[in-house]
Amino acid sequence: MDKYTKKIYETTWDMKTYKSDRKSPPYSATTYDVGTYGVGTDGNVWRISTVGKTTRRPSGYNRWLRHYDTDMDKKAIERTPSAGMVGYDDYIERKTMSDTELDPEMGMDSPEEEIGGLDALFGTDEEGEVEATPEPIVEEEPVVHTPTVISKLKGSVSLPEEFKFADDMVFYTMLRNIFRCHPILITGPSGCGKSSLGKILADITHKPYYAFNFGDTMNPAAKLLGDTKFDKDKGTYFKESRFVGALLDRKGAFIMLDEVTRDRTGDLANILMPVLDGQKYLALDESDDADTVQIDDNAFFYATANIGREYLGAAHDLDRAWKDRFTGGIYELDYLPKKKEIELLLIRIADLSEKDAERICDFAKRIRDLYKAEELNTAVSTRMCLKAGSLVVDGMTLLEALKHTVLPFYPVVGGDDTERVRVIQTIQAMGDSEYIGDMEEYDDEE
Amino acid sequence: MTKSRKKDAYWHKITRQMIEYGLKPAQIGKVLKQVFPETEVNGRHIGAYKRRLTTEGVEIAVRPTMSMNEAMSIANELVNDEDKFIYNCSVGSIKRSLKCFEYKMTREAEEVDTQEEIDIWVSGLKQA
Repeated sequence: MDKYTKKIYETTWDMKTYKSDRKSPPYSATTYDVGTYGVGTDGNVWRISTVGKTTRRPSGYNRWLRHYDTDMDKKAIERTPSAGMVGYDDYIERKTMSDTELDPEMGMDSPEEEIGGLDALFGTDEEGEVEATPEPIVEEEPVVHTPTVISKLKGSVSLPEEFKFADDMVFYTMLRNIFRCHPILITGPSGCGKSSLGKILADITHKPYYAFNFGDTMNPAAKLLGDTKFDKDKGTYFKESRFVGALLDRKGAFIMLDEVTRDRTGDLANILMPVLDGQKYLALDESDDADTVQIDDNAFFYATANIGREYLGAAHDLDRAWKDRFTGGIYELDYLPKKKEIELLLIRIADLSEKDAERICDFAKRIRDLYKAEELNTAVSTRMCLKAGSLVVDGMTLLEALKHTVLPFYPVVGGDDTERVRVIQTIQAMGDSEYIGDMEEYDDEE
Repeated sequence: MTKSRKKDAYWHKITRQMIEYGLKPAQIGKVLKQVFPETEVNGRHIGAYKRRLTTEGVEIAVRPTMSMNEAMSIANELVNDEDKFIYNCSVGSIKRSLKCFEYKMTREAEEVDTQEEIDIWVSGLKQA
C-alpha cells in the first residue's frame, strides 16, 4: 500500500465516524478519473461520474454513482464486480471472511449483514497488514421495563434521615421485607437505635404496632401465650396474652420482639419457631387438643438482639436454626456517625450546648475506636452520651459527667493496665482546660 | 452519554390504564385522589408520565373511551396491595421528617419551667 492510498484509507476511516452507512467504495472519487469502476461496501458496482455542473463551476465535481448494466429489454440489471475495479480486493476479502469466519456453517451471506463495518476492513497493524478481526453483529432484543417492589419504593418513598449513614438499599429492602412479611432481625451494640428504628418503620408503613420486650420478663411463655388468673366469680381461668391478640390483628400487625437474646431459658426461641417459619401457628399449651392460634398472613416480626461475647457470654452468637427463621435477613446496625449523634444530643437535650455535645461525641468516638482495635471490651453507646449530656445540663462538669456515666462499664481489676485506666486517660486527654479553669475560679471564691 | 433512569411509582399502574382510556391528566388526578387521598401527585406529574408513555410507544386513545364516573368506580380495582403498601410508606415517610426521632417537637410542646419545682424540692430537703 503506497503512502497516498494509506492516507485515503485514513480519511475514509475518519469519514466512517460520522457516516457509518456508506455504501459506495471507500476511496475518494477525486483521486481517480471519471468513468472508473469500483466495488462498494454493499458489494455493488459504482462508477465515478461528474455531477453538479453550473455556470460558476462548469467542471462540476466527481462522485461515486451506482452503475447498472442493461439487459436485452434495456432494463437495468446489477453488474458483477470484476478484477480491475477499485476496491475489488477488499470485496473479495470481505466475501472470504463471511464464508469462513463469520458464518462458517451457512456459507455465503450478504456482506452488509455480516461484516462489522469498516473497522474490521481497514484496521491495520504496525506493519501495515490488514487485521481481519470482525465482530458479528448481535441484534439486541428490546428491553421491556418491568416495575418491581423495590423500584417502586425507590421512586415513591423518601429516605429517612436515620438511614443516611447506611446504604439506602438497606432501608428499601427492609420495607420490601415488611411488605412480603419476611421477619427480620436487627443486631448491634446496646443503645445504637435498634428499637427506635422499629418504631419508625411501623410508623412509615402504617401498621398496628405491638412491642414485646423480653428484657423485662421472667417467664417468656406467659408473655407469649398467656397465664392463668383467678376471679372470685369465675374462678381460675386462662387469659390469653397481648401477643396472641397481636397475631390475630387482621390489619397485619408490626410485632416488635425486643431484646430476644435476654431470654436465657430457651423458651422464647422454642415458642417462636413455628410462629416465624412457614407453619405460622402458635399452640397455647402442650396437650393434643391444644388451642392453636393461626397467625395472620400480614403479620410482620421485627426482632432486635445484642450479639457478641460482651452480651451473650460463652454462647456469643444466636442459635443457627433461630437465625435461619429470619427469612427477611439479619441487619447489623452500628452507632450513629459523629455528626448525626451530635444532632441527636442537641435535639433530645434542650439546653445542651453544641460545644458540649461535640465533646461528648468526640469522646464516644475515641472509645469506640479503642473498642474496634480490641483494646476495650465494650464501647460507649448513644444512650450513655445522652445520659452524660443531661448531667452536664444539670450542672456537672463534662469530665465528671463522663466519668460518672462511663466508668462503671469498665472493670477495675488488673492494676494500672485496666480498661478503666485507658478510659480515664482518654477523658483526660480531651484537655478539659476550660472546665478546669472554671472550677479553679469557683475554688477561689470558696 | 449516561442513560436516564426511569422512576417507578405506586400510582403508575392505575395512571397508565386511565391514560390508555384517553382520560386527561387533570381527570386522572381526581381519580387518584379518590384512591390515594393524601397523595401529592398532580396533573403535572401525570402529564409528564403521559409523555413518557408516548415516547415508549404506548397507544393512547385520542378521545376518552370511559367517563369519569366509570373511572371512579373501577379505580379501586386497579390498585393492588403492593401499590397500597407503597403509598402508605410514601405518605408515612413524608409525614415523619424523622429528624432524630422528632423528640424535639414533643419536648417543646410539653416543656414547663421546672426551676420553681426544683427550688421547692431543695428547700424541703433543707428543712428535713
